Amino acid sequence: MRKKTLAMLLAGMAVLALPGCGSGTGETASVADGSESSGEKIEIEFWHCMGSANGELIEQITEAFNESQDKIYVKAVQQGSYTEASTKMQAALAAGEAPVVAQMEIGSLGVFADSGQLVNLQKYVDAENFDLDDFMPGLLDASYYNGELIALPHSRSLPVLYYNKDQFAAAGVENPPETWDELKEAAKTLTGDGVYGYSCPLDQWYYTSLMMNAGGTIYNEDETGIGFNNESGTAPLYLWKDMIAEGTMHVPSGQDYNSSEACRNVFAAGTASMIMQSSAQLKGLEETCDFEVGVAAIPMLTDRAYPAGGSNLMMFAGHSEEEEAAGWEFLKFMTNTENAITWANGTGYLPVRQSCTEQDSYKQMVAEDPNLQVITDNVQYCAEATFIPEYAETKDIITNEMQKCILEDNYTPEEAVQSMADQVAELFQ
Amino acid sequence: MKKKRSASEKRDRLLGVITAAPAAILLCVFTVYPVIYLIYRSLFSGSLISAKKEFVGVDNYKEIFFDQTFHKVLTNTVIYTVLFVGLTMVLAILIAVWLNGTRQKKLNNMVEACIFTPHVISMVSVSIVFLWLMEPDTGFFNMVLTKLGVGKYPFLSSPKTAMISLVLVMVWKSVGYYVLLVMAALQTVPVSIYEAAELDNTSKVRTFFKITLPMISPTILFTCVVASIASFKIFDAVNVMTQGGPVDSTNTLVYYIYAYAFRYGKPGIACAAGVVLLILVCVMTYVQFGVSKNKVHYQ
Repeated sequence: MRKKTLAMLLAGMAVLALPGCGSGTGETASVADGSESSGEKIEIEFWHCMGSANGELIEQITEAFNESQDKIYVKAVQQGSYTEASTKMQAALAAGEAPVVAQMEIGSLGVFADSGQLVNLQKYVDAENFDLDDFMPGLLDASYYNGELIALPHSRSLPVLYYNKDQFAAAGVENPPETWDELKEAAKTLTGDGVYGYSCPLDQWYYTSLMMNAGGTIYNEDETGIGFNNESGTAPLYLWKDMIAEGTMHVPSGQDYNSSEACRNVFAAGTASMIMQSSAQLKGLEETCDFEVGVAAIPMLTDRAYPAGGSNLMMFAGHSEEEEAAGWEFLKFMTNTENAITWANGTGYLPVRQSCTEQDSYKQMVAEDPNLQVITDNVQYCAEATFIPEYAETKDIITNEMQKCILEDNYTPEEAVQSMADQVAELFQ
Repeated sequence: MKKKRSASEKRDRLLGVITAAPAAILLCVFTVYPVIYLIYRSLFSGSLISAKKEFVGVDNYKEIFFDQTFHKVLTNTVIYTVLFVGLTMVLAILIAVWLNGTRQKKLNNMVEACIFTPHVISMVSVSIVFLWLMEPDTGFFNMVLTKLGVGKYPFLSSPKTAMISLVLVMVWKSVGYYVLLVMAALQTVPVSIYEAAELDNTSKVRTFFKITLPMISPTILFTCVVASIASFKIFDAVNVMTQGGPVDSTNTLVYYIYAYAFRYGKPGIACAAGVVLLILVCVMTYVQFGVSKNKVHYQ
């Protein structure tokens, strides 16, 4: 009851404070209009965060599930961006109106799991001898919380380096850079005549990628603070500061998804020869760019490791056993080999299962676009993920300090990383 | 006689209660109760969806008062409010006086429509359009500035210029609404006063400061209060355009509340910040009405 009232209160505050915001977001509509069911059909709701073409595809796959059997009807509802969906989910949970299955950004896993709102899927796995090992190693890590299986990998991605093959050929650079030194050199060669060699959003995900490639980890082993309060934390900042000073790095404007979009725009316009972006952007970039797009791993300093990205499918607690069982059937369908390939092919997200790579449809897909193979080859380096509830705040602290170091004068990388360490340590007190 | 009177009194009273009830109930349910619950919830920890909820006393308040981000957020909100209200009011009064003075009806209507249109457009759309216009590398504004030889302006991408860029967007969006309010006030000023001034050969500037401004001061005060309170609650533009960045330079109070309630899973802190917002808005209203007693002319 109290939770309900708080949700109402916060929703009320939101309504008062933000008129014109979030209007017309498909509210949980009434029960599907007299569906062709015999009355016995179980209807469950599925929230997803995919827009435009990806949104259509995910609804097509959902529709295919509905047609594949006649016991369950899944209603797919689009809930906006990852952030919006997570906000709505918290309000829905507090009001007791959460959907059975939802696609949620992996970073929000901790918030939901910690409050016991996710269904432990292990019981279904055990009962059916469901083969978890088929999922790509590294991807399943982000499905566990305190040893409980509470999600299945779905729309997963990793950061990669995209490069303009035409500009590389024109500048006489043969291969994409593999190390930071090579990155600097290549950027220098490629820069000139209104073109920057390199561009990267000032976002924690890309900073974290470089930091992990320099040997750091987001949290320390006992999860009491950051795991990069050393050279691995300062090195990426020095790299970027140097490259900006040399005029070889372009800094996209905006925050979060906005800055990524700005980064892709300068790449597509030919103003930046190399950019760091999510592997999920592959198809979009290949379509927009009128030059040949190449894909390579993020250049490394000492190690090869990436922070996982993208979203998982989760089942939310508070539903009847039948509904949960129906949700499990749907989860299995969404993540089966065939649909994993369809999804990867249509969107650029990773093929989440190892068995995908053995299928003819996948082989054909890679033959048509060898860039996909580069991405798949790098999945193994997705590092173990820790999605504790403090993760969202940690991300904001990292972004803020990192931007302060790059955008403001007289703030050294050492000061920035120390400040990150202090602030994150405070979260655990 | 006495009895009769009390019966009618009773009836009147009942009628009063009945007619006031709907408004009173709505007020209690949607204003009084949430405020009380807000204060109550600010004393607890635990996330919105978690069963674990602990009484922590004033810890949430302590946390925000020692939180440097919160200090920055408060400063930002005040800076934003001062800039926004100042710019909007000066522009609104100038435009309204100009429109009121021109005799060309057609031009008048057209300008009025142009200025008012942004007010009815969704804030989210406005934010997205300005995000494109203000894009430092490919945006329209910088294209024009470069052509004019001024050079590129960083707009939202630098901590130094992000706030003023945000203010400009909001002024563009809202000035039309305030122009309408000021124009309505201008039309209530009796023509006889202006005629008297004209007979005395008073200059236009003097007329403006000695007649127009004092006569419309109640409206100006009202709009200042409304605009200040509205700008203390700015959220949509921040959420769409800057997400509080870069480096918290555009992080404002309501965005801070939103982040703690829904992203960091700490509604207790969000509620404590909400109480601070509530107090600030109350004080602001009180002070501005206090000033009005001495400085404002009511006819």
